[in-house]
Amino acid sequence: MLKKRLYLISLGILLLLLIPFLVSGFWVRLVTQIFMFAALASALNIIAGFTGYAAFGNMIFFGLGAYTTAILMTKVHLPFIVAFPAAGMMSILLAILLGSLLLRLRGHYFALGSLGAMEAFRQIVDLWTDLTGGTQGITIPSFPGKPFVVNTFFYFAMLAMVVLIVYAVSRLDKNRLGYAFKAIRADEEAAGVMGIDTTRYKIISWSLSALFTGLVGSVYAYWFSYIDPPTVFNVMWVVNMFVIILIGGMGTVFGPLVGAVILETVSELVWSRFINLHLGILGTIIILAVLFMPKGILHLNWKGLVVHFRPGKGEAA
Amino acid sequence: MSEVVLKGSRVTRCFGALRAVWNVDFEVKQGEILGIIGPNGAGKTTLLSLINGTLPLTDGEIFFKNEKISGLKPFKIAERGISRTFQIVKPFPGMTVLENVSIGALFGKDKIKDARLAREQTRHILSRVGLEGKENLRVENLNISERKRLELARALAMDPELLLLDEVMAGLNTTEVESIMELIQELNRQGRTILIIEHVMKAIMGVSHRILVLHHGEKIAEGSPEAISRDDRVISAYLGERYAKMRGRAHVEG
Repeated sequence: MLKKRLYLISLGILLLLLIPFLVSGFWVRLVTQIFMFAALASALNIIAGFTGYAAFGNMIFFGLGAYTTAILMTKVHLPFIVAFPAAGMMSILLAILLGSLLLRLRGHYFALGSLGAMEAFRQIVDLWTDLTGGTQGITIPSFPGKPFVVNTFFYFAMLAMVVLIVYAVSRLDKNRLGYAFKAIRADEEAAGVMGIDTTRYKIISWSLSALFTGLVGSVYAYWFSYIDPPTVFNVMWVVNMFVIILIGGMGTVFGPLVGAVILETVSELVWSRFINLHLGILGTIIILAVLFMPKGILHLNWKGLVVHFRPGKGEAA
Repeated sequence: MSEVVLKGSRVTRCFGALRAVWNVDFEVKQGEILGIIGPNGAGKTTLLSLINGTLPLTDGEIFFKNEKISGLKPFKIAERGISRTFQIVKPFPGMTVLENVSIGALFGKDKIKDARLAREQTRHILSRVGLEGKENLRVENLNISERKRLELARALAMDPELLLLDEVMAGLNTTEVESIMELIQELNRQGRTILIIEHVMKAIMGVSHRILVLHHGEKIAEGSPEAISRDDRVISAYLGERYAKMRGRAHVEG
């Protein structure tokens, strides 16, 4: 049984390593995009799924990471290898600053507060034309090489981000820090009584989420080699991340991965043919996910599903 | 035996115009079990919340081992060796029973850093509260009696010097109540000081060294369980003044 599992995992890893060499550029870019959303949703999962704080403004760190990278590479002419960690550091700093203000709020108030912070930040980026290029955006020197080399590089860069973040989250599932997050999610009063400094751990949680989101933003900026405020501060992306987490399973290690694969594949292959219905279908999926699998696909009780659809027994477990 | 570990002076908490706890002085000695009783709404749970910092005091001060703890955040008070259970249990879902309990060892006064070590060190606590064999069960799957015992196990995992118990026996059957009473006495023999709120009279009278009676937020009596059970003010608070008068008359005539 264990041998069979090991065999399957090895096969999966081999397949992931070979994809860029087996399929066309379109598919490689699609899979890279799936990786990006898996990474972003996993990072959001740390604060939203594990700690229970719905950070609707999390794109603020994606934008900050992207702009830090872009500005350092164009204005200061630093290489990506320097701009990348700087993007992460900036995100942590902003999370600590915003967190000490906003994490006093709970529930919807925090969700709205973080969203407001993101919009305010976007306005600053819009108006600070000298530094950010304002609404014109910034063009970043692109990765040198033929399309195949570029596609392969960013495929592995995003794959590395996914592996890094999912590894971090898997550690959180079983370590002291993660236990503190889950205790806060369950009941902040009880967590405090158990000796947990809730304010401190909430800020740590958001900083971790911010770090990973900012790093992904940095890779994105280099990958697309052009960024502007409407794209990197796009609130629809956060909605997408929440849908991914909902589909996969809030507060689970692999939920965001599964959710990203499902949502992004469906999105790219089916919705691109129904451009006008795109948002309607997204909305329908959200409603169905919340109604029929509130804990996500990883927690879905397939036998229970039959019971759900029986009239009069529609109580969601 | 004689050293005072917990001392409250003029402890007061108001909710608007309601005096939930009013001007209560109390002392708890090292190694003592102090029972707190009183009718519903007397302010018992509020008093515990004031001690462990989950509610701020309106007035007055509380000292633990001669250091002022009122005004500190709950986690600071927990770190000093005070733990509590909640009357309305608060398990941490999404985690197993053992993981829930290990949080006490990870964040209580011992602050063990390694989660695996904390799990191993707290495993034995589960058998003390009768949750052995349920280590890897998710807490969502526990029944109310098991949740009550989990609450107690989590508080114990913090290795507290002072344990505040808020109705840990409510909802348990007779056998379970007896085993919890034994556990409380055993914990006390180990030198832990215990403050206990309980509605099961037989239990609290049997286990407490001393009883403090609250009524409408005020302390109306304090003394040994025997003295308290004969105190007219206590009887009238519980059973009404008419009953107390009748009983008093019968007592004089008889």
